[in-house]
Amino acid sequence: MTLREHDNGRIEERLRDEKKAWDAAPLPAGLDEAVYRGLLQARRKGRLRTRRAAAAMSAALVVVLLLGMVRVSPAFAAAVAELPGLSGLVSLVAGDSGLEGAVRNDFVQPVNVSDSHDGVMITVNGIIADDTRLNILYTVKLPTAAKHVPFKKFDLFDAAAPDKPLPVTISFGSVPLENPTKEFQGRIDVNLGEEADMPEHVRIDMKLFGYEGLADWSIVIPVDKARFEGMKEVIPLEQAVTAEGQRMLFKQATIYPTSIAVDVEFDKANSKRVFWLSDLVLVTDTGEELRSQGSMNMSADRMTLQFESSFFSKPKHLTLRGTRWMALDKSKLEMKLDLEKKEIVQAPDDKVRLVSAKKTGTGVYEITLAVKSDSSVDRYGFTIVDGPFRDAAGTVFNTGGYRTSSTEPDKDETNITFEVLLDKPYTNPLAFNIVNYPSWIEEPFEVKLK
Amino acid sequence: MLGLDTNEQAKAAKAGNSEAFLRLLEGSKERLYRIALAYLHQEADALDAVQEATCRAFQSLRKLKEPSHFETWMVRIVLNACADEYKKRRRRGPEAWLEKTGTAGIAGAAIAFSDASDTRVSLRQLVDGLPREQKEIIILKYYQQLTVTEVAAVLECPEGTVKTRLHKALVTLRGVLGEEGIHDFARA
Repeated sequence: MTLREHDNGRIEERLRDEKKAWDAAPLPAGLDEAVYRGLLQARRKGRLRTRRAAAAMSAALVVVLLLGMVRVSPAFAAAVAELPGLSGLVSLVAGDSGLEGAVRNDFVQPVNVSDSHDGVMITVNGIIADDTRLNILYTVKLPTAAKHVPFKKFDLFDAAAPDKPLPVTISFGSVPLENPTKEFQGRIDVNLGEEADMPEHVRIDMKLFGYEGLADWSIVIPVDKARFEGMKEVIPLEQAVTAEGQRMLFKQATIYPTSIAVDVEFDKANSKRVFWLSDLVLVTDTGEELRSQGSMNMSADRMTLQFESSFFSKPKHLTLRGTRWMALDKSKLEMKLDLEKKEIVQAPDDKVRLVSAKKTGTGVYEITLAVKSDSSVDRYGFTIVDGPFRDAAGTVFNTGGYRTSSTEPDKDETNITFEVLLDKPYTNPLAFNIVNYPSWIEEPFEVKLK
Repeated sequence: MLGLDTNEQAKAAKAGNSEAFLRLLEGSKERLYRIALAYLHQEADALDAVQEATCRAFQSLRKLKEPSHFETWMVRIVLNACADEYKKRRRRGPEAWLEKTGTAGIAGAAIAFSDASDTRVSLRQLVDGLPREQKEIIILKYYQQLTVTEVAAVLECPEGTVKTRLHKALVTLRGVLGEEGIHDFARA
């Protein structure tokens, strides 16, 4: 061996030591985020329009990510407060870990489109969207101070198909303010039905109380679908849970940027109809809890459970937990009322009683039921019956849109008031479908999603 | 080894399917990050480089001629992103460097070298000071253990050129560290 070869060998040995040292460096938690952010950055650059606001926000968010922020903090608030026209972005998504993750990962799309007439200006500042959910961040300016925005109704359309409303579930609302103000910021949470695709442009028409007879406030919201294209993780499950002879099969979980959907099927051979699964929560390997955002009954035997998203936080493990099932014998799914005698003819048990049944208009009756429930554990706004019903002769009638459900704090009883539209001759008793009832299978369950 | 069995995914990614693109990166991201960390030494800078490389790659996917060469191509892009980041850092000057070093986020490198000897740190400084084309070869050949053929494919140059640059790099390193090497030889 020559001296030179030996020297090279020494250096190579040291370089191999150096390699070991580099390999020992742990992979940072922010690596996945860096990849996602690169992808989002590419999509943004790929668009024709430049969005300076988004770029500014992106720069601010990089700072936040470098600091390793996980939860909302004053620094985070300052960093994301730059969506034009919207200073309260953080408070609008606070409490929903999926949306917080979306905001932290630059997933907010600036919109800034307004409609203004009759002294009211409504602006859509931005949206947080994916294939299933559209969160609309808005500002409303009123001509006179109020304690809340008097929203009366929203209608959503695919702007390219303006006559066909989108099949959506809308949640909105806020706690009335103590001091009236003229300017409000808020979030409208729109869940898209599973059969519909998110349109490229969504039109939202809004009506306000106190402004009846005037034109709707109408805004067309561009949805940049490239921002969330392919951004979902599908986890096949096929895991069965059985209790008291009833079986449910967890089919699959889908993790979207702003929500997690878990599909459940109930065995057709079950003797009970399952209405609802109670106290659902997803728990991550770090102990973070992703809250339930409700469930949708796709049919009598299929349900989709929705949760806050973990898309951006990417936990290694995700476990679904529930405490009990609301379920009723399939033989007891009908309730019969005699309006003339003002009595219940048939009910699952004696937990429900008829409080009143009175005629409130031509062909309209208002019925009030009271049902015993334990408000400390039931945590459910019972409606008991819903939808079309039949009279003794088999004629089909409809329930009206008006409905209230209230529980007095010191009484374990919920009062439910609803309207029935008896606009043609009918024969007592009337048979209603039971859609929920305080009847429970007490059996905690757990399903490992990943 | 480069050239994973990623042909179909790469084709889907080329067609603009970002899910396929992310899946492909899933298999490469660790390598890309380690290359960037060895190049830039700072975790935050390395993450910036990975982000920038991801962005550039997705934007220019259609330029990827052979889908099976996705990882080779990605490594080239991350090296370019690192070179740009390196230049930027030089422009920012030593204050920016110190400022960043002083914050959290470089735990990786810090932990890796908490027990490092002075000699190893000085080798690191020497590699860092090599001309770009030599430094890249050291990272790929020694830290990523690629063959000369694979390094040539990443850098899109003949194997002979890789060998020449590698030789020059080792000569430079030996020139500075050589005395110690001879001393060791004499002792042995």
